[in-house]
Amino acid sequence: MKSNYKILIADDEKGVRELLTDLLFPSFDVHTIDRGDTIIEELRLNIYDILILDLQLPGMYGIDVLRQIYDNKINIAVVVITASNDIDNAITSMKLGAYDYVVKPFDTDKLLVILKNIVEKLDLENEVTILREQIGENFRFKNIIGDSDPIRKIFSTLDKVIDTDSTILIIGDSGTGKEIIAKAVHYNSNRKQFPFRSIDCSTIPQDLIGSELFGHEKGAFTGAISRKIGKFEVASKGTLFLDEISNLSIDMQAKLLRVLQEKEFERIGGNQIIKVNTRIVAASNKDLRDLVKENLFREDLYYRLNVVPIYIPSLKDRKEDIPLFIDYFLNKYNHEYNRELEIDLKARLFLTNYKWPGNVRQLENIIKRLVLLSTKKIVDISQIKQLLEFEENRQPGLIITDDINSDNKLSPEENEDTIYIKSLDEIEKEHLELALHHFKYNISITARNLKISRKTMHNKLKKYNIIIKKSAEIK
Amino acid sequence: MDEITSIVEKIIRNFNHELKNPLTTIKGYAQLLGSKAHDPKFIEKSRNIIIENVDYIDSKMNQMYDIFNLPEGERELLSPGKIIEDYISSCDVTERCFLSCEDNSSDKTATGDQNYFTRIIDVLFHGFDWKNHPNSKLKMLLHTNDNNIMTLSFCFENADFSHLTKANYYLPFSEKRYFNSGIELFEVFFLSYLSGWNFTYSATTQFGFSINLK
Repeated sequence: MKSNYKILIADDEKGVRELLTDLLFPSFDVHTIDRGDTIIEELRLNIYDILILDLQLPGMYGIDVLRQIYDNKINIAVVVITASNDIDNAITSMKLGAYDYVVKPFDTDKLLVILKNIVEKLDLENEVTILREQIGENFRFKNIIGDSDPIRKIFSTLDKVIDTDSTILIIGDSGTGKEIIAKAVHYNSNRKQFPFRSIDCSTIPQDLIGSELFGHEKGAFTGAISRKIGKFEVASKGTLFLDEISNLSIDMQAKLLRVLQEKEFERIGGNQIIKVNTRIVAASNKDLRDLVKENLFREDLYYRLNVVPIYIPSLKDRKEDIPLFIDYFLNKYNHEYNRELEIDLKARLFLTNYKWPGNVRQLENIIKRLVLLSTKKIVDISQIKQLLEFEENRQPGLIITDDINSDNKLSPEENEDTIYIKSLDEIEKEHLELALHHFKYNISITARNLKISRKTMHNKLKKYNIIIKKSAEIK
Repeated sequence: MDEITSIVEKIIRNFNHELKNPLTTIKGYAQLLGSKAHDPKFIEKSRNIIIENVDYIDSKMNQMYDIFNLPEGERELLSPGKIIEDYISSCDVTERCFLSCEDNSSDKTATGDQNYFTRIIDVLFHGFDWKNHPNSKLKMLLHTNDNNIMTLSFCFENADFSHLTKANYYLPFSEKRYFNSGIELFEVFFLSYLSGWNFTYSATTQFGFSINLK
């Protein structure tokens, strides 16, 4: 066991201090102390990861030291070592947050196992912190794409309410980045070290959404074979993002209102009241005021949610952000697929003036597809048009025009529900099948020409369930 | 019988606690020797530490044994005030040790063993952990009540003995925070007993420890 963790040994017996130093050095950065009344000051002056604490210390008893560590929320893993077999001391120590309790004379191997477990726990905690910071970094305001006035106004508003518990309601068309704004709210707030959870109210059946939000007890309904913790509970102290909230049934709206008002609820089939402190960020692509007028959305819930309204404009209404998105997605997918694709100026202008009915999500898909499929190093307007035409063919009524200044090109959002846009996976599968056919189902040659490894090729065949039989046909 | 059982249980518990530290060290180094058998310096160090801790256990046993084997004290006339003043001046401890006398108690006499009396003062003064409690002072008060019973009371300033109880204050290793070896109060209790005096403790008075001299 080798670690960089700093350990403080608090024992009044010189022999025990020396033994533990010989046992733990150089695996740990070991320091010792022989009195109880100086431990807290030492922990304040220097950062330690682990404390090995004797209970019978001069100056201050170990239990009192432990209590002060607990009361002052000092973040340290404590292993209590004591010459006493008193079970009450053991229970008190564990209640006060001690990681483990060892009775003297202990086996050195047993102590090492405990410390190994602590090291693993600390490693995991550090990893979680780093990952959380990395995720959070992606959602810092400065790292969110957009320099247009509407986006600046959004950040300015969020800045004022970020560390409050205010509910935030985000209104914006599909694909405008509502979830990114919700994550930005979470990861820029003082709740960032707690969980962020999201739920799309439009994709979960109404009879399951209650269980998703509030959880259920075992046997609450047919199929409830074990207790389930709901998203409200999981995200307590953190943030819960309720996407497409307009899809919530009136019943569920009433339950949600109660949680927002009382900050408590019961799991389905349970009678224990669970208190939560979850910040709610809700989003909708419909204007909830219209739904209130039509009695499809509770007015009281609307006012509860609409404390801080955020309107995200469609991409066509903030054209100055489009070049930033193009560069961002181009860099992202070039890096991801190890390509060096560029887009020429005319093509960029075309993309900037396009109306983007699918908003940022559609723009991202187009750029990703270009990076994946383009055989040239520089993309020109013809390729862009070809790709968009490909989508147009599945969108009756849309027109492509060469006139990049025309407002009519690839027109609007009409019949959005009937639009069929192939997923990237579908396109990749088609492309794989085409390439395999072209290279007579030779996996090595096909992989080489697709500039991917054989291993990646096999993974993709497995992913898309493409089976090549000996007779060289695709099943 | 219950009282005796309780005292024996407390003595065993205190001893058990006291011996576990050196046993931990001995066991730990014995286990470490297995993994560091190639290091002659470590072997030598471990050997010394093991011997040192065995000697420590042996010395504690001997100390206790010696106290139990002390002979009955002499019954002679002694002047407690004078003995204490001589002790303070001969040991040059005037800055840390004080005696106050009420009602001319300094001139009065008591019966008991003079050597044991001097030893009690010495054990309490030199047994106290001055190193870790440099701001403390030993105040003694000699006073006589209406029944002509002389009492010598002890107060260690800035020392908190509230964890002690009437049932355990004299037992070995009940008090280790303010004394060097933990058996000082037991020794004083025994020396007092052998001289026919009562050594008591009260948590409610400033002078917590006192000896009724007959």
